[in-house]
Amino acid sequence: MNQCKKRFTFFLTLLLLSCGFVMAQQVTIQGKVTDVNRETVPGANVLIKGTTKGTITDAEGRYTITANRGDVLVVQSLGYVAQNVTVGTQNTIDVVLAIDDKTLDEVVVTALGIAKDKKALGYSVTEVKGSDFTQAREINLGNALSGKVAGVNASATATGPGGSSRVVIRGNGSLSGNNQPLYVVNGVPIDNTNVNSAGMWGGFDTGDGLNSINPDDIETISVLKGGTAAALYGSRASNGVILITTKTGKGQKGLGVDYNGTYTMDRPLTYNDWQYQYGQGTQGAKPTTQAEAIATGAQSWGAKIDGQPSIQFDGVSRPYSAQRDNVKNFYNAGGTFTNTIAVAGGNDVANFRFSASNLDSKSVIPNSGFKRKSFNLSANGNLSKKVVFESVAQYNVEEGYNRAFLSDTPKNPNYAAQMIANTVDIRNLAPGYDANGYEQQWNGNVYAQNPYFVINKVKNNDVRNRFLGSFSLRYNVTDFLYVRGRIGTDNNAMKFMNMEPTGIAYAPRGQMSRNETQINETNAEVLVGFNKEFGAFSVNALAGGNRMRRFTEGLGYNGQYFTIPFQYFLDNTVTKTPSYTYNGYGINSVFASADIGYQNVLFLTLTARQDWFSTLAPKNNTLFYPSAGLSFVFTDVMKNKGNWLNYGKVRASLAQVGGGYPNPYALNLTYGLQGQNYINSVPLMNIGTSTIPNANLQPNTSTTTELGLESKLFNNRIGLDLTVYNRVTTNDPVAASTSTATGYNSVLLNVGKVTNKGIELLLTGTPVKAPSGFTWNVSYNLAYNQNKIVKISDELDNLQVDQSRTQNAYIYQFAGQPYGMIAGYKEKRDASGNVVYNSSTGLPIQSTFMALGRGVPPLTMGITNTFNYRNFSFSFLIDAKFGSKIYSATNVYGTRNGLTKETLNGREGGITLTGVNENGDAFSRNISAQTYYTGIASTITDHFVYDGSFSKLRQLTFGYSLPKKVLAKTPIQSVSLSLVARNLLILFKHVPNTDPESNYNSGNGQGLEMFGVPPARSYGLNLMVKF
Amino acid sequence: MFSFFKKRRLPVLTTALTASLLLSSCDKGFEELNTNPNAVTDPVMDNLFSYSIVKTAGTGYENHRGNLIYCGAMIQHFASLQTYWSGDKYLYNAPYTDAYFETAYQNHVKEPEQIIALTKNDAAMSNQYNIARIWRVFAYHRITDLYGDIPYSQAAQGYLNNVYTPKYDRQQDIYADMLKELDEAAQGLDASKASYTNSADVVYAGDLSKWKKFAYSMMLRLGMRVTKADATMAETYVKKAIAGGVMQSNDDIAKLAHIEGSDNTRNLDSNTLNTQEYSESQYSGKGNSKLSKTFVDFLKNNNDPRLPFIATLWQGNANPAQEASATDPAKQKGLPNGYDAQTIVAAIPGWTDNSLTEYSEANLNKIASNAAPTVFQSYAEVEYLLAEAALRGWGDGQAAAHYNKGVTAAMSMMSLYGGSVTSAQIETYLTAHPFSTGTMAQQMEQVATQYWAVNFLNSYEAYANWRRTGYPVLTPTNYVGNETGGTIPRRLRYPTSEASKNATQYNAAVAQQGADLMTTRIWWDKQ
Repeated sequence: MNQCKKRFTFFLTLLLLSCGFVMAQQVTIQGKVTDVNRETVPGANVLIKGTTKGTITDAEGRYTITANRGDVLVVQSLGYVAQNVTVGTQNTIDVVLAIDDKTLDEVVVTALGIAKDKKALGYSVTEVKGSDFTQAREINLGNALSGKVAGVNASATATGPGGSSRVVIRGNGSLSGNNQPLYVVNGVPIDNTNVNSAGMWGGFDTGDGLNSINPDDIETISVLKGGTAAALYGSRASNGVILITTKTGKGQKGLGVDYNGTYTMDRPLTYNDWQYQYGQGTQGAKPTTQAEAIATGAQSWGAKIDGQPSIQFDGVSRPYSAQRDNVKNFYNAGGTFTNTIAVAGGNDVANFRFSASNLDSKSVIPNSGFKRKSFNLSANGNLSKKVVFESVAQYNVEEGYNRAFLSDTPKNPNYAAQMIANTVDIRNLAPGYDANGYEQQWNGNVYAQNPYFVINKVKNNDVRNRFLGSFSLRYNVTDFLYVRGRIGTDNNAMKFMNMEPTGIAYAPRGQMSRNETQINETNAEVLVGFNKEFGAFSVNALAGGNRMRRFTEGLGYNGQYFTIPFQYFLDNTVTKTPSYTYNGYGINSVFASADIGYQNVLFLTLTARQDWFSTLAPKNNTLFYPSAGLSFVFTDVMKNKGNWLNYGKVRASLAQVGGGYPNPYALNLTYGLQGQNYINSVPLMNIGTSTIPNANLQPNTSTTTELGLESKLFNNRIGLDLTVYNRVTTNDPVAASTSTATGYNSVLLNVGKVTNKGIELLLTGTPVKAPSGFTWNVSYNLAYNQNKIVKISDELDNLQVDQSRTQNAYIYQFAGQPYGMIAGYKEKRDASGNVVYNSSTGLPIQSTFMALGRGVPPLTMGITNTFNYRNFSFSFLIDAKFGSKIYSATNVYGTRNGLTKETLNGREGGITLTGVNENGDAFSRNISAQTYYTGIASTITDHFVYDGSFSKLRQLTFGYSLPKKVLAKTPIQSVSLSLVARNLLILFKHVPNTDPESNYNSGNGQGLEMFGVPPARSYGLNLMVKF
Repeated sequence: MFSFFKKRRLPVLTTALTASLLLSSCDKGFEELNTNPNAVTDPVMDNLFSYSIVKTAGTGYENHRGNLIYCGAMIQHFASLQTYWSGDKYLYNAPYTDAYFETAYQNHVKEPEQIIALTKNDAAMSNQYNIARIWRVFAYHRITDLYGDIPYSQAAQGYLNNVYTPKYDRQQDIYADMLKELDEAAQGLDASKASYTNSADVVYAGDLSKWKKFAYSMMLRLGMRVTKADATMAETYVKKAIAGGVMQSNDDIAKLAHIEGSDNTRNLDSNTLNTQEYSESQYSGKGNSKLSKTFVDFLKNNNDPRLPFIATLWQGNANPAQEASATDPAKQKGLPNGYDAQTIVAAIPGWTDNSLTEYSEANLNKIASNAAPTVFQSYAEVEYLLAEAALRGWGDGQAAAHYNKGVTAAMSMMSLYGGSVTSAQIETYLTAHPFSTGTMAQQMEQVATQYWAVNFLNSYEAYANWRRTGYPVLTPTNYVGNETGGTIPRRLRYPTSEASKNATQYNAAVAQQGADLMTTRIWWDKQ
């Protein structure tokens, strides 16, 4: 209880700090905002300076606001120079805005959804408009961020449509925990769990929470990169925060209808570049029997391709000829169709917006795809003069079907599509089953499925019903003091079905499972806000509390062996195993922040948050997170700043935030019961965890220092935003992998110190702005992140994060090295550099285990060029990543199977290897190419580690808007039609036979690739109509 | 300031609301959020013990890879044309050599270690403690026999003693400790005290005298194992085991009964053969593995009455109604080891795609039924070891009698699998194959070969005894690209995970034992 008293006192102190001020007289001001061309300006912000209180002009540019005499109204709208008007004795204030394409006093959404003047921020926030995502589209919002924001490393996964994405801001800080940001939609944290993903043993990816966001509903995205920006989120902020604000009906008079439709075709972006000189077989010989043809189904170690008849897997003889188009022939089905319609309406008192969207995406793999229906309702109203209600509710139905298995071979159609012997036409494997419905085997490994059997018979399905709601009530106590309460909830109900049919080669009796998982997070928040100016000082403060509860519950039924073959329902299975999982936790928080401005040129921001965790030992379950930021607009105090310098600001900040708080139930050892008893119902109990628990765990601490410079130059033609930061993450709660001889796989420890130092640059420019109306805008962002694992722990100097199915390559953290190193073996060499060979096999011996290259690129950049001329617009985005490596299992298997061009060496006459043997004596031997390459494929990791750098033409749009004149007599306000494309071209890459962006999951083990769905190039048409 | 609160009721209300929200964290609900509703913190020893036995019998993973694919093929019980049958061809397949090591530490020894730690100082639970010690020896001896020096004294102590990188103990030290443990535990069993409940003791249903016999029988097995490396230690413990009292009949066999049902009730060696190797509906006799020619020839050439219960043509497995004709001894044929689908064509004249269907499979209705028990140690083995002890002059001198008892027990054991070998058949066999009157080497060969035969499907044991005795004499294969230069492997390589996650200790073990290769001999196998 003592602790609770402290907690309460702390809260009261915060509250009192923000209360207790006198009141002034209020008046209601009305007015109209127009521009210099006498055009009305709808949607302009009218803010009382130094407060967050404000309103927005309606469709006719009119506004109403309650203010005090002497208050300064700041009227601003994108594209206009902001204007300050002091409230005098008048009740009507009409404002005429000057046009300016570079608005300086930008307002951005910051933590807790509070809009702030950008120049007052002591930290870097990047805002991206929703319209950036609505033409050339991605299903997963994370993928769409690639190349758009400096310091945000967004990468897609090779999962097919509806898979997960990986977004990392300012480098990875956590050794093995979550490194992705917190996503907050309309002030409410949302779940971004990747419930099913592929690992070394295969599996498929059922996507993450970002798949639920319909880009048509996004107003803005604010990326809170540094600790200070995110500090108000305390223990959830260590990886930054991405705030998504959805559209509302504000400013809408009467009804408005928007339609957005896009259709794109999806085709693989890369194809394997195999050898076509030697065909199917082994040791230089073609198969001579059907059994041999099956045994060598994935082997191209045969004879010289001669076009002569040769027996194949099905006993049929076909010409022994090169089949170059297997990949093209197999992956031919992709396409995505999206339609969104939005209706908005409102008046002075209330407004609403409702959107309905349907997305139907077919994977490049036949019979596989993803569908999403989403409905979004925003309703806001002024319940009285002082009470404002705001709400957003979103309901989604998302369905993935027959998602592709990735990585390991079982049920993975990509293996066959890419590894089938180069003289076998993959289409002859169709339909994949024999007359009895059993899998037609094409190779000797029962776990490497016939791809047509997979697409025709193997089924999986996942449906997510999601409700996202945010409801807030704000009471303006006085013009400078308000109280706001908000409840937000994210409810995910997911159903999964997974079925292996009768006749599948490795389990011919088949099996199926059904699972249901619910994830629910609810946040209740109350805060008191205060805005007031005292002479030259402005104070903007708030204090409040948040209560978070999160529950995950899963029910499953697994059925083995179908009693009646080919009938697929659970009751038809012989052995049924139920399962149930549950976990829940909570975080209680109090927080406060104060922004103090001096003369509108110097700003200080202080924040504090205290979190209590249910998952920590009760005696020691709370942590404090402070931050401070300073911003100085030096151009406002310069007397002679010259014509070239329009605006300049420096900023500095320091923050301590947290992350990676322990999972529930990680404090003590627990014992579990097996779902199935032994004979006579004898219960079986085991130690229920493979991770050694630890009662003293704490969340990690991430301390960020940041310095920045923002400037506008040469008549606002050039913009510059430069940031340098240093982020130090310590005491990471890590499930450190242990020797399996411990009885466990890992141990929970607070370990490590990771530093991320980096620089971020955003350069914007308008190289051409011709009187004819032709404009060319460029936006270039660059981020360099230098990452180092300073220390792991006294007991451990390395940590395994992931491993490849080849079991010859790993992702490791090594003390003293960058984050996430690909690790494995090179050829062993003696002191003179000679390769050491195993004299019984004739193959090179492995070196000791070592780091082979970083899996995460340190240097990322993106450049967007936009051209506008009259009704035409043309825009493209090129992004690039440099400095990482990738271990390509596609090339490992391609080499093992005699498909890579490299394996042409020594096909005739073998390969002569010279070096030394184990005893250091001279060694020389001639071995067959097949023996050599099969040998190194499973032992010499380094041989298959490639430079992962690449650049892609990521996005392209070419649009035409119908002239207003044409539409004048129709109810239509605007129509635009665009050619759109995503992932159009790889401008350069170094890894052969695969796309460098082929990670099969979005976890921390980046740099491993194996038989994913080839990333798709999509291109098509977009139509936008506004009524 | 206070007047402000008086004037404004709403903020006061809100304050109260916020405060109560925060104070609510002080109630018990907040801390109780962290109680796992699906687990217990106090284990039930009975249930932990049952789990440990059931899992040591095999989880379906390590026994497929370790018992069948590696040991079973290296020892030439099984043969295969598939290259994933690495033991058939002496290939190194990392995930397959890793499997036994990784699974054993996580599923076999972890729970016994926990029981031992929790009961060690509880006098009332001394029987549970001692039985867990006996079981722990069983689990560890298989690991060290496969790999040599292994983590032992510091193993499975991740939670108990926070050891995350356990050291590798020398095999001679491990053997010394295991033998000491068996001795202490056997002596510590006390019939006047409670033990595991009869149902939880899934091996002996609470019969302490049988546990004691098992402890001494294991001592006999382990003592005899070290004859090459330390004859004195061998003699001491073999004698001690005999004096302590070993198994007396097939009633004493250490085994786990199975029934068809779930993975926790069925025999998972059998199930693996059933579902992954033979898969009748799919392969129609062209399955992935077959019985080895070496093994089938031994049974067939000696007119062994066990043959029909061990071997069948695929039709007998596909349809039990055809078992009678499919198990006809005359029809049984074993597949030679060391070939693949291509090289077999040259090796066997007239080989066609259909030839594979003519080769015998393990009988899924009998010895390899999903309801067949898993035998940890058989009485027949014990008699063979006693015969050897007699030959070495460490026993009662009755080598022939022990041989006869062993053969009789081994054949009668078919009843465990729904087979039946009559005493007349046994008589006939023993008349045709009496105990050798030749040299000691010939006698050893005869006993060890029977030991090899009775340990079909307990290939770990067959492989260990072969390495020690060299019997039966097996002809190695020499598949292209093999890891051993055409010799039968002497051990399995350590898991690749040890080389990375436990690098320091692993490197020390390699320095101590020799290169981590399949040709490196372990301590008790030193020539």
